[in-house]
Amino acid sequence: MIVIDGYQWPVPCKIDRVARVEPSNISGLMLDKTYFNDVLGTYLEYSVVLAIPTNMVDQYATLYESLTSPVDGHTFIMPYNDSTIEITARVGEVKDAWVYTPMAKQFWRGVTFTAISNHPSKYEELGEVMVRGRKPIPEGVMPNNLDVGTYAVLSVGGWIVVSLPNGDEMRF
Amino acid sequence: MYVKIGQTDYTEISELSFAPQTDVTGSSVPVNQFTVSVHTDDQISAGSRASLYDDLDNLWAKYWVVSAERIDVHTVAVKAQSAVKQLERDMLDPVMYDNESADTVIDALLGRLNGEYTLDSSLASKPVSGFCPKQTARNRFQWVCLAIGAYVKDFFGDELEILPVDDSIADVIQPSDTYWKPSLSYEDYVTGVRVYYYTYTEQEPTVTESWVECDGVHYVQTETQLTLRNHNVPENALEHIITVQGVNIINSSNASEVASNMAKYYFDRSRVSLDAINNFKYIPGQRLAFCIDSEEMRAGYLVSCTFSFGMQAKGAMEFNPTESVDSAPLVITYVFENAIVGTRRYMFPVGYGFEVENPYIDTWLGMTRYVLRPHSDTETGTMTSGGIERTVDMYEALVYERGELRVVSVDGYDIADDIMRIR
Repeated sequence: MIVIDGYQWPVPCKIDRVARVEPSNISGLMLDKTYFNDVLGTYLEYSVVLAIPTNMVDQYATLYESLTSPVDGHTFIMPYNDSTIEITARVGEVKDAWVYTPMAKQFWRGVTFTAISNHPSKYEELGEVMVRGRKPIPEGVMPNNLDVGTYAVLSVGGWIVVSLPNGDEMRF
Repeated sequence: MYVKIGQTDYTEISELSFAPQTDVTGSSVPVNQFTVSVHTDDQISAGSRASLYDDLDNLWAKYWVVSAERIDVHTVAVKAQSAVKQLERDMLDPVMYDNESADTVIDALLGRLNGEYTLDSSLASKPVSGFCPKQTARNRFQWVCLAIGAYVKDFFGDELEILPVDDSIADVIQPSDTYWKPSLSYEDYVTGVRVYYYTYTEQEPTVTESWVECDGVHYVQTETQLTLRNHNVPENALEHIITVQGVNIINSSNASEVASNMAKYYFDRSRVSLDAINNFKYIPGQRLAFCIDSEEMRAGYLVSCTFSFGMQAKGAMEFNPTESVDSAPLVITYVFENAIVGTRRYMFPVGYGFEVENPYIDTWLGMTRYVLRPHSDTETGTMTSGGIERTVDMYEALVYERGELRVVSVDGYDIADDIMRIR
């Protein structure tokens, strides 16, 4: 189930997901024959097909008008691994099909669109990208009563404690 | 990137253009500038201070707004120029310098810039002698720079800097930071450099003597030429002599230095253009070493460089002149538990004192992820003709991941201000 601009669509759907690790325009081949990949961030792209029942004609039209509005982006809550992710994404193309049956029944169906996130879902902090390939181990904040051997995580921002063997309260 | 105009920071900017130049011969003083579109409804007026900063608050340029044109409802196109431009406004009376020190002369010229300049201490006591006619302050400043062997840097700092021409190699641009592929071009041969120098004697001139007048006093002027020949050109090369004439503060004391500085620049006519990653590191006016293919190294003066948005700034650089230098590789191999976990290769000129940072190595061995911090932060030494190989196999902190990352071995740690430093 997905949520588009705050409206949750309780209809069958098929979603294709693509994560694009976007390089900046200064990425390129270097003199030592290695490729310098200056990554801006990871952008998600969802291709969605909604199977909206024919008895939801009004909702269908509302969705179509919304998706085809000339705006910067829409908010989507999309499935992401075993959870969901909220993204602001631009809609580049909206497709559907008009169906006419011999009993003079006619309707639009099969709305299909692509939502490309406007903001990276993942990116490196500025300090990390400052010196390519020469990232220092960052200094971090640790509990004052730390013992050698305490569990720790090296994260983008520095060393953080994820659990302590003696069950002490974690502090960051 | 952001621009500070007056006391206001403008972070919404676009269309930045900044390509500072310098003339290492000192024979010209370029007026550098930047242009930028600022998205604001504010009224920006000419005459304001405009400073360009990167995202780490490094100052790139501190100039004056010379024009601010509103190009749409919310956008102003701003052009800011170096204070050097201001010197063109002032027309100075003739003066006869008699062994005055460079710091006194330059202070009189640049004092009008609210004192915002620095003169390198090695230049301060250089004598200035000779006649300057009625001319703009910028023109006189240019003469003085040429006479004392200085060049002007008006970017990457608060103040205008007057520096000596330095032919030592300031830094090395590594092949891994240089884009494929630099271009090397040659210009016409220069067969010699000719510098005219002058002497002045206070006396009434005869009919045939050349003379100048300053404050009602007549001085007889004699002109002599000094020529340095370029012996590295083919015999049949067309005569092409670079001449400096009419700079009347070049005298018998400084003429050979002026000629020598010109010769350094003009006798080797090879120019290199390349693109490189430049994180606020390579600055016009420096003499840098770089590779033009994966092995051949050259060195030359960086005469101009473009700068753009972002921390991994790609700069288009011009070097002139350049010459081949002997170089050799520094290869550092990172070994952990008998496995090579990383290799770094650098090129340096032979005899160059290098210092490279040991990165931490983030690698997987089998199903385990290791983050290894070399015991030594840097590798230092002096490059030798055969090249240097180093092996790093001692690390301070080992972290590996089995579901979570874990500190498994440290020599010790200390904590200050809630910051833990692992040894």
